[in-house]
Amino acid sequence: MIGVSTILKRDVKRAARSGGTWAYGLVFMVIFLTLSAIALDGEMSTLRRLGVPLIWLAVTFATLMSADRAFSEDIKDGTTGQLWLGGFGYLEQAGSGIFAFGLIHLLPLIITAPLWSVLFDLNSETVIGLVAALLLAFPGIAAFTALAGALTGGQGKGGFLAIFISAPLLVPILIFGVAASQAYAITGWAAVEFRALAGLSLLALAVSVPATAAALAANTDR
Amino acid sequence: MRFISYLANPARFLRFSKYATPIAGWLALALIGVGTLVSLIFSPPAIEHGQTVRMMYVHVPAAWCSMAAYTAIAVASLVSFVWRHNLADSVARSLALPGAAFTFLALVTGSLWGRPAWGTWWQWDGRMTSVLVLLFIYIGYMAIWNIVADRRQAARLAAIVAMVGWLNIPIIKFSVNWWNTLHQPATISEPGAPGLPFELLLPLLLMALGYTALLAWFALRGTEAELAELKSQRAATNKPASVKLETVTHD
Repeated sequence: MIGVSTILKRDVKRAARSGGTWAYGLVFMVIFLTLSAIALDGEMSTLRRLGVPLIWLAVTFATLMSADRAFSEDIKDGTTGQLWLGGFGYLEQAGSGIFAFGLIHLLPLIITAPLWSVLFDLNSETVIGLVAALLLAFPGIAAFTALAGALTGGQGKGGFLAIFISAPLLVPILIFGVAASQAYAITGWAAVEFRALAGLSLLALAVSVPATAAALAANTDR
Repeated sequence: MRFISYLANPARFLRFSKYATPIAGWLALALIGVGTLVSLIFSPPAIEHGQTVRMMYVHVPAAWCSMAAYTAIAVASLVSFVWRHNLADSVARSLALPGAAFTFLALVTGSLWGRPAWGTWWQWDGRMTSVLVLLFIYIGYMAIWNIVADRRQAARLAAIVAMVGWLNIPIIKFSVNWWNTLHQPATISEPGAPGLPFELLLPLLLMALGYTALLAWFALRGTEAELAELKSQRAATNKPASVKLETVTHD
């Protein structure tokens, strides 16, 4: 446990000192949403209808853009192998790495989602449903994206490849996430979509942790 | 299990494939040839679909084989991941392109058949969406092989992708039960299912067996090709270095 918190602290500190690279996803999300609203001609009735799917898309794409930051630095400079030699196994590295990735690259997007929902004139119930669904999807999105990052981390130009790999895996989470966001306004917390989304998210985490560990092992040739 | 370990030896594999490859290839040619004749000429048009039912003899086997090929890739990846049999990687890799091609074929013929049958080229129903996702997974799997330079590492990473991506196969299979879709539920494979009349079932089965034989041919032939390539590479590395001495005259 000490090891996991050390990794988390190190990653957060590194992100804070990186000169703002952790915020690139956030900037991308704002640009994407702005361009979408402009492309839809600023028509408020359309934007109100499309706000939830567009914010989901923005979160997904912004996270995918950061996928190659998940493990690549550690793999390339040999930290992954050194940690393994120091008795910090690949499973622990995978778990803490996925959590740190979500914390740094995904959580800011979710926290600021209510702010961007103003652009689409969403009502408060929809915003509550949206944020709740995004939080439920948090483990799943972070896990699949970080897995793709671990798979491609050893490569020079892994970014696009990471998007290729994780985007198809994220499809069910996207489907149920949008459905759950919109279901809250109608059925409240009892909406079955929330449970389906939580299940998918946990399934993604359960599959991704060992797969990420295996990818880290393959990348360090163990 | 013993069979897999037996074939993991390249020399033994080549002895096996010397006979198995041509058998699979000619079988595929014969079955698809006869199947095409039967499905185009001898089988009657169906009552509801008319002549367009003939699309089924391409569409359904292609969809079956796209899933079968992916499952075979996942199993071969598991074998390579657990027992580190290098040949299993070659088998998985050789199946990726035909599998993706069958997926594409299923999507295209489905679209062409959907127009006369349902009045639409494309609908975002559960089965079409999940098969499209399967195509993307195939592309990601092949991209890993292409981008990672070291073959051993590429094999391990691609195997992980293949096994995680297999999650999509049950979604495709059960999508017709879970969501309201245009596709009909399982017609042939489950007990108590309605089934097909013999004159429609025969060409379908001929084509399905032919496609499967074609997949087997691709797997065997691709593995043979990769073995030959590795051999020629090794021959080049193992060749004794030769030094040529020349007299250089300085003016």
